[in-house]
Amino acid sequence: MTGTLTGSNLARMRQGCYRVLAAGFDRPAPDLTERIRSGILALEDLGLGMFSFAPQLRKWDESLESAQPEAVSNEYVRLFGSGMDGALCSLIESQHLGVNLVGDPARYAGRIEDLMRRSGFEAQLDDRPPDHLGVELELASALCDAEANARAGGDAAESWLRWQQELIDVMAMWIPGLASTVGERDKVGVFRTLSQAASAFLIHEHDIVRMLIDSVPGGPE
Amino acid sequence: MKWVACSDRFDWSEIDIEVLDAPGWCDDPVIPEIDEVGFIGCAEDLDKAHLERRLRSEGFDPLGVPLVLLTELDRRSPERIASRVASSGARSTEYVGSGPEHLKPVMPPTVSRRSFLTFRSPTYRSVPHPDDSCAAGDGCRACVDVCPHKALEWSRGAIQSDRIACAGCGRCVSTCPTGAMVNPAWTPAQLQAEVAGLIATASQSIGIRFGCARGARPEPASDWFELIVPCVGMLPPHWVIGPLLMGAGSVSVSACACDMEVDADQRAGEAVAFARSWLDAAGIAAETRIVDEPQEDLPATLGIVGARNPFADDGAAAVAAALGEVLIEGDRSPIGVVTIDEVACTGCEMCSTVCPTGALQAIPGDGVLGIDFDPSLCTACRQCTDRCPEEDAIHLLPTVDSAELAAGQRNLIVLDLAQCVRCGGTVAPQAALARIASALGDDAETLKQITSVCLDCRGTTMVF
Repeated sequence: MTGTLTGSNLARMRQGCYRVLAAGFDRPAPDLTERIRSGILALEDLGLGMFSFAPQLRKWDESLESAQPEAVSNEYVRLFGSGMDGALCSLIESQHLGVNLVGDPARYAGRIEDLMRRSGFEAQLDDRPPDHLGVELELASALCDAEANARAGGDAAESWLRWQQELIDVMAMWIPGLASTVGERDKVGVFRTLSQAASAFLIHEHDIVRMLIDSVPGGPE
Repeated sequence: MKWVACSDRFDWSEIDIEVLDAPGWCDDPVIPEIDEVGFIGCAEDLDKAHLERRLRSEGFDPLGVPLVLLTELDRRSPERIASRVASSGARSTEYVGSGPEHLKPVMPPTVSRRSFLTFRSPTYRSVPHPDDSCAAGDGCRACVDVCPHKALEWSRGAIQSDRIACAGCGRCVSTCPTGAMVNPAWTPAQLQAEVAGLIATASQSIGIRFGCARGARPEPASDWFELIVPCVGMLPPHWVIGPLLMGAGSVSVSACACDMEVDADQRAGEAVAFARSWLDAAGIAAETRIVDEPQEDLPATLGIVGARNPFADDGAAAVAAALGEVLIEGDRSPIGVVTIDEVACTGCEMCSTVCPTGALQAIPGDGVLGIDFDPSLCTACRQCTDRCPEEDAIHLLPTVDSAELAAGQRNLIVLDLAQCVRCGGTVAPQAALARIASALGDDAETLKQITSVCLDCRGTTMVF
C-alpha cells in the first residue's frame, strides 16, 4: 500500500462507505448481510484500512458475521419498527429529535428535499420521508459519486463538496445521538456496532470534507 | 512484550529485551501478527506516518503501540536504549484508548490543481476531547479560556471541539481541573509513566528535558532524556518540578520549536520561573535543578519521598505536600486561595456550582447556608471568580501557601436563609433577597410575591 490516493478514489471510497451504512439501516432481507459484507470487503480493497473509522466498520462486519439473521431481523423491528408510541429508536430525523409541532417535521424533510433539488437529485418514491437516515445516507453517497465523476474529469468538485458539507452538518446534528440511543437499547449488537460505525464515519467526514474544501486550490494546473 | 527492530546499526544482544530482528525494517515496516508488540526504529530513517498507516491497516491502534525512535545519541549506549525502551513500554501501559473524536485527519498541502487530484492519504493527529468527567455541565469552561486557537467552545453545558482548528498544543489538557480533557497520545499519566520508566532503569542521576513535539529539537546532553510534550507552552509549574520529585537530578525546558502559539515560550518561561521560586522557597537550590541548558554534571537526586504522582489531577497539591513549608504568590500558581466578601456575596451558590474540583462547596444548615473551601482541591482555575454574578464578591489569590493547605477545609461565609411563609422551607439567602429588593426599588407587591414563598409553594399560592 503506497498511501497515495487519487481524489476520485477517495470520493469512491467515501461513496461506498455511505452505501454500506445506508444498507445497514435497510429492512433486513435474505441476502442483505452478504451484500453488506461484500461491500465492506470491497472497501478494504479501496484502502479502508488507512482511515481512522476502519476499526468501527470492521467491528460492525464482525458482529454481522456472528449474528443470527433471524435475531437481527427481530431486533430491527423492535428498535426501528413503529409501535403505538413510535419507534424505540426512530430512523427519521424529525422523530428522533422529538419534533412534534405541526409543520416542523415538514421543515426537517423540506431541508433535505431542498438540498436534493439544488444538487440535482430526486428521491424515488418509497415509504421513507426525506429526513430518514437511509435517505440522507444515500443522498450523501450520490453526492460522493458526483464528486468522484467530477474529479475524474479533472475538476476540484468544490460545489459537490459544499453540498456534501451542508448534508453532513445536518446529519451531525442527530446521528451521534441516535448512535448512543441505539447503543443503549440494542440487544443483538449488530445495530450498536453499525450506529457506532456510522457515527465514527460521520465524524471523519465532517473533518475530511472541510479539509478538502479548504484545500481546493485556485492555482495553476 | 516483543520488540521489532533491525540490527543494521545496533547489536541487540547487549540489551535484555526480546527483539524480533527485521533487517531494513525502517524502510519497509512489516507488522508481525502478534498482540503485544512494540517497534524500535532509527529517527532519521523511519517514516512515522507510513508506519502508522501500516499499523492502522493491520487493525492496530497506532497510538497504543509503543514506538521508540532512536537518535544517534541513543545508539551510543546500550543502557540508554534500555531506558528508552523501558519508558516507552511503561508509557504504553497507561494508554487509555482513542475514539474517532480524538483523531484529526491531516492532508498534505496542495500546491496546484493537479496535485489536488492526487494526494497522499490522510495521516491522523491526536487531539484532545473531553471525557465523561467534564464539568462543563456545571458551567466550567477552563479549557475554553486557555485555548489559543479558539478550537473549543462552551455551548449549552458541553464543550464543543473543532478538531480542524485544534493545533494540539495541550494547554487544555494541563489546565483542565478535573483531568477530563484527554489527548490519548499525551495523557499526564503517560508522561508520568515515561519519567518513571526512565528513572527506574537509570544507574545514575539523569536529567529530563521537556521538548516540544511539533518541531525539531537539538540532541540533549548524554545523561539527559527528552520528555516530549505537545508543546512546552502547556507546562504548569508542578509538572516542571515533577521529575525532580520522582528521582531526576535536573530538569530543563527547551525552547518552543513550532511557533504555532506566539506566547508558548513566554508561558513556558513563566512556569519555569514559578517552579524555581517554589524550589527556592522550599530551600532547594533551583539554579542547579531547573537549568536553562542541559549540563553534563548532574546533581544527585533530591531524595524527597512522596509526590510520586506530580502529573495527576491533584499533582500540584502532591508537589506542595512533598516540598513542605512555602509561601509564594504568582499568576502561574497551580493552587489558589479563595476568599468571599461577606457584604457583596448574595449566596447564589454559583461559585460552588461551577467549581469543577469541589474545592468550594455549599453546605446548607439549619436556616443558614455556608460556603466551604478546601485549598488542597483548588487548581486556581478561576471559574468561581469568572462566573460570579456579583462584583467583587469572590477573590482568588494564586498562591502556594503551605499554611493554608495545612489548615484544610474551612468555612468562608455563612448566610441566613429566608423562610417560606407557607411551608417553612427555604426561599433564598436573605442577602439575595436584599439584592432583589434593591433591584426592584419600590415595587413592594412584586417583591412580596417573589420573596415570601419558596419555589415549591409559588406555583400553588397567591400572595397578596
